[in-house]
Amino acid sequence: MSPSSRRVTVLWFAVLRERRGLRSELLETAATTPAELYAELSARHSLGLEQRLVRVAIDGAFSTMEARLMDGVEVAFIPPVAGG
Amino acid sequence: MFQMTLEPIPTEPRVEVGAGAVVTFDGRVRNMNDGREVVSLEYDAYAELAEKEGESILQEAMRRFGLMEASCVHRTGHLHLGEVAIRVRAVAGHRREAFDACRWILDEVKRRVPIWKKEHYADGESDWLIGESVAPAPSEYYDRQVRMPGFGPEAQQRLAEASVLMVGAGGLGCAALPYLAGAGIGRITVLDDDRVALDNLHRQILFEAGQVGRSKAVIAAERLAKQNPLIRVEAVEGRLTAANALDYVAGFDLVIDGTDNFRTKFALNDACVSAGVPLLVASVHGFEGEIMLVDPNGLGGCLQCLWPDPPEDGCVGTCAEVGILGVVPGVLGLLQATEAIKWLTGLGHTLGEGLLLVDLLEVSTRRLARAKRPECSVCGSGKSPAVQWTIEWHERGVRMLIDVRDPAEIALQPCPEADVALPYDSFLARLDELPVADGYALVCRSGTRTEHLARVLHQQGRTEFVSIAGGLRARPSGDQVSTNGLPGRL
Repeated sequence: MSPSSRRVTVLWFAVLRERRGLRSELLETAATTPAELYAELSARHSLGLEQRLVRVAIDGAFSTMEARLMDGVEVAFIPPVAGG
Repeated sequence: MFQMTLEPIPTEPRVEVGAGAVVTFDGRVRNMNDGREVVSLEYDAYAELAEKEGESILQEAMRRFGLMEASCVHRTGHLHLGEVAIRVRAVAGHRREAFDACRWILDEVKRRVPIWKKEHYADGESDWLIGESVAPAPSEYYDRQVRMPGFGPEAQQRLAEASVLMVGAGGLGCAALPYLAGAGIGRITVLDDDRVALDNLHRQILFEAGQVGRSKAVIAAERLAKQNPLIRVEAVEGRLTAANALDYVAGFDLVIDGTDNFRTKFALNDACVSAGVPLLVASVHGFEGEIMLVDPNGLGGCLQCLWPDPPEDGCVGTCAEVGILGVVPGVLGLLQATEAIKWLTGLGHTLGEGLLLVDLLEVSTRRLARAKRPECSVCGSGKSPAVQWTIEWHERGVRMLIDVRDPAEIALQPCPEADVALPYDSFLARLDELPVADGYALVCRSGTRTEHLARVLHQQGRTEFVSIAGGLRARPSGDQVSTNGLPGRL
């Protein structure tokens, strides 16, 4: 692991889970914020959901896309869900 | 009309010669009940049980009053004004027994025979009523739940006094509603403008294949009223929008979101925060679902704290597009019912500030902590600005005061400072009719309606509208109100 990167667990939900094809993944990233991380993964996996429509939770609590990503955290990306 | 005649008086079926008195009573459908205009009635009965119980009432009347004959016929189905709903006939030796018996039979039938009455009102609404018909003993009906440790008669009483609005009788609502009714929530209103479709039936379990095309709200309410005659159930066939949401939610103890689109969910969130009514929001996608409680007085904030910029419908697909397994909204609807019962009785810990994510494919749950966003445009400081009576008007450049109350309210308590009246219900639709001004202050009775209007208008970029905090209730008395605060009065 390079000094400038961190290892995070990413959790995917609902439509993002379908598009990523995974429930969770452990990855190493140079991203320093959830925004950077989402942009990186969205481009890599063609997630096709604008960042403004995605909420992030870090270690079980809702956070902001501009929060600082620490090594070892669990990052959950949550798209809007409307079905009923 | 009083008349003497030599002609024989026409008689109904023959009676034995010792019968000196025949009393026949006809109960007919009339046009008013409890101050509401009724246009028709529907009776539904559990026929086998009704006839058995009815027969035993007649036998008892024969013995009790020494009757020679007793009969009763009760209509079922749809009845129009003037039609006979019930006919009771008592035949006795003397008039006193015949009158008394007729009255007694009628009262007993209403009290004991399982017949449900539904009134259709002139305003398009309808109600299933227990009326005076069969009312099971609450102590027996709720026995198993009242027995639970920590529940008891107190919790039951809190449910009996509670009112819940279920918005949407779809997959979530169909699951939540029967348990809410069974638990004994005193007043349940089912709001839905949709009709049953064949592709609903795999998940919307209150409906039958033979009911395709009928109103979901009406059928759901009928089912619940039969399930628990001890509660009051109302069907409202309507569609909740940003403009009417406040009217729908105001006054309820709890609102449950069973809708399937963002527009309605955010309108509901906005209205519930305005009205101070807690809201249980749930949504599903595939095998996943989520549920949260928006408590206007809590620390977790509202739906818009999570999504400051509400997603537009279609951005992630609907049930119609992406499909849904029936049991998924079922499970989430049951969670909503559970949380509703807990919230209303004060039992246990509710979802509080959490958002619960449920994954039924992996059978796992995850609870995420929410927090109020202080600058939220719905529940935080970002909400539309309110002004106080008098001084602030000038500082904020208010030019015109608009009274948004109904004409009837205005007639009861006029607001002399108002320049224009434009009622809340049609305000947004009639915005163009307002005289041109630099700014507008809105006033209503308590400030709730104007706060909501100002917020909706601000979200549309119409920042020239402000709400007068506290409405007329907060108006200082007499000449303390200075109209000097309205420099541009038209």
